[in-house]
Amino acid sequence: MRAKIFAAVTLCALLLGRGAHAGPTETFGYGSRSTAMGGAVSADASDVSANYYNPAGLAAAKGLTFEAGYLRTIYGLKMNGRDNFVDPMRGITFGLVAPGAVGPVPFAFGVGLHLPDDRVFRVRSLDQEQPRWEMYDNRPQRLFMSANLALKPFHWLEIGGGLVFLAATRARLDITGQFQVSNPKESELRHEVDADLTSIRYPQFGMRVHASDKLRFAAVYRGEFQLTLDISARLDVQANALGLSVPLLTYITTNSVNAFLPRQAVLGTSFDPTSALTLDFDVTWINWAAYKSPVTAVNATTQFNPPEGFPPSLVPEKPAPTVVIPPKFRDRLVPRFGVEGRLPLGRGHAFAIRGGYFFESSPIPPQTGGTNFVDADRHGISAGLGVRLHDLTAEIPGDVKLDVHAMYSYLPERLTQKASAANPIGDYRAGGTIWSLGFTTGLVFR
Amino acid sequence: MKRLFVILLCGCATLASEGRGDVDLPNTLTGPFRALKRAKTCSDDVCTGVNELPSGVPNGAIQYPGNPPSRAPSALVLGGMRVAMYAARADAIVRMTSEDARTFVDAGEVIKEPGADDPCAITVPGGVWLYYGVGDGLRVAQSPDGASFGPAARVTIAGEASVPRAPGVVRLDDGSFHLFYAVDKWIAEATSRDGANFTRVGIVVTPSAPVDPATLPEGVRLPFDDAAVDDPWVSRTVTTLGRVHYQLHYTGRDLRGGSSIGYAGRFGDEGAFEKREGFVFGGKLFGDPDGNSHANAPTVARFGDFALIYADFDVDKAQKIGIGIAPQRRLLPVDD
Repeated sequence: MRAKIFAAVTLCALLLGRGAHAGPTETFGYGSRSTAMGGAVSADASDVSANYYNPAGLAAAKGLTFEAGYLRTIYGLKMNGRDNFVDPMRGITFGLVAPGAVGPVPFAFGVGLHLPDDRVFRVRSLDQEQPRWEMYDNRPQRLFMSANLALKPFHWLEIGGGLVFLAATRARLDITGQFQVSNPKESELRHEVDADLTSIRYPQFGMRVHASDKLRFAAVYRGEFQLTLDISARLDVQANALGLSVPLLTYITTNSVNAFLPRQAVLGTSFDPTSALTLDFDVTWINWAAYKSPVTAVNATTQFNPPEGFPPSLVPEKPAPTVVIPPKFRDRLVPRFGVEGRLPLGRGHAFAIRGGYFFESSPIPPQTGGTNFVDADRHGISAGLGVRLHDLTAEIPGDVKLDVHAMYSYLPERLTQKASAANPIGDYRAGGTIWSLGFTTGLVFR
Repeated sequence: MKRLFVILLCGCATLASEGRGDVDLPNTLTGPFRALKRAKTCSDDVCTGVNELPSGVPNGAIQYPGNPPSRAPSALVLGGMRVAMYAARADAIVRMTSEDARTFVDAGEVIKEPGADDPCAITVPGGVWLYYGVGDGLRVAQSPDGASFGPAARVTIAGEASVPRAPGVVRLDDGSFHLFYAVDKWIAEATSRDGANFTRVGIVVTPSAPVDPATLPEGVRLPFDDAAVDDPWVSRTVTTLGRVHYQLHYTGRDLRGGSSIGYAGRFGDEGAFEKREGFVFGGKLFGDPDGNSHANAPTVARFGDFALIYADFDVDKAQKIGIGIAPQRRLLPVDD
């Protein structure tokens, strides 16, 4: 039975290829236990959340594990004291860990999934100067999916990794036909769309070293990811106006980057001062300096030769090409702290209480010019409870888990003072709060 | 299989609802302005779009009541969407009112004087002051209610050698006044303690330098104000960070005979203004058959989270008025 499940899981992973790895987990955590501990679990996670925090931890799974849960955020992000009604992020989480062995070497395979219940992922193309909550508005609105392998070659060492991918898009749109300028309803236009989805791959690796029974160290690397969207359009029509028919040929190309996820490196430690207490600490370097602007670059070329008598006011104007202002984000270090206290309840049952804290300094420089990537420093405080019931029924030979968590993020108000008095957006204040609530329930078969 | 999976994901993505993360965003309400329009279309009882202008009015072509048509408007917001509009008509300044800021009722002449033009109405404690230009300079008249004005007084500007025209005035909380006016092809500033006797400060807005079209990058327009700047309309606000912010809209005239509305800003109560590149209102919608924009004489009315700009466009001397809105994404439905 176990071998069949393992085979099914492996087959599933191969069909999925490699997972899509993206923003909701880095912003709001993955799995209630790990999120409740402030995400400081790179040296501590061995459940499904290890698919994100450190795939090496999968090798320490105690048995075949299934987990499912739900995550919901509530934004209170404001500019100039007015709520911007940023779309909340919500979705189900699911994952599994399937341990086994390759000869004498313990081996595990894991899959993790966060699936938004409103959309799989969202791409937005906004004007360059439009203010937007760059870290919270669009970036978390996407799928997270990860598939990893882990080995334990020595009793003191676990290593793991996976490849991650999503699709980049290239599309071509052709419009041909007759266009009635005075009455567009009478136009006869033909459309042709040709879209191509190409995959993007990047790696993630992790390792965990057991210095002793009570002390563990971890290192994790996550690669860079970006979703590029290239669209070209060709408009080849006869424009009819005032009894004149004029050929109009326009090429438009757009290029944008969405869902950029920078490279990250994590160093972490986990310490058990007693059998009932775990203390965790992580520090994450995030390469935000490589951030690509999400602004869409547009180029248009028009061939239009109006005949004698064609009204100049109807001649289409050629739009100026977009000059994308470099975002010039800064790298940042994110410290994370977590603590878990466990209380045995007898017969293998246990109760846990957890807490965590992290601080994210904003990587976005003061927006004094033409861009308005709105952000503020973030203090994250989290707490959670967990119950583990052991051998609850004969049909479930193992543990039943239920974890809940709440995370409160406080973004102290950040002031943006424009350098130019001619700026259309002007000065503003930005800050607010974010609540994130969730639960995870799971089965661990022994 | 993998590709099919990705395609399905992308397909789902296209079905998602549009995000709301762009509500109540900061904006100076200084433009660019989008022309109000009639965009409602119905087919088989299904209607899409909204009309922002009343029935029978084509896009951007409202005409003030009365004959001959009025020109050079100056708006005062009375509360809600109620607007009092002062404008020049023949040798008079007339007052019109509107309940929706778009359709106006003629309330009659408030100033009768040969050559009266370019009014600018401001509220002061206890009433409304109306500045306007005549052939030899500027005048100011006072009213307790904005409807009936006493005799006008001459406005003096010490240090100004040329004849000023097209006044735009702001009153500070300390009771002093800043006057912006057109002189020759520039916009100048003067200050006063009493609102009638001013002292010239200097030129604060100048035309852009002419550009050789052959040197322009592809897609970049020629300056819209390389011939002259004119008709200043100014407001003084305080930013959310407490900085004094002067917002000045003006007529920019180009060397090709067209005109559009430009914007310049200044932090603080003194100094030169910084102009925004490109016009904020104008273009072909307000142009002549040759495609030249003819928008001029702006006034701006602010209504909380949006602003309306009113500007003349005098194609064929029809003296119609264009109305634009900022932010451009804001819709302003009208019941009709």
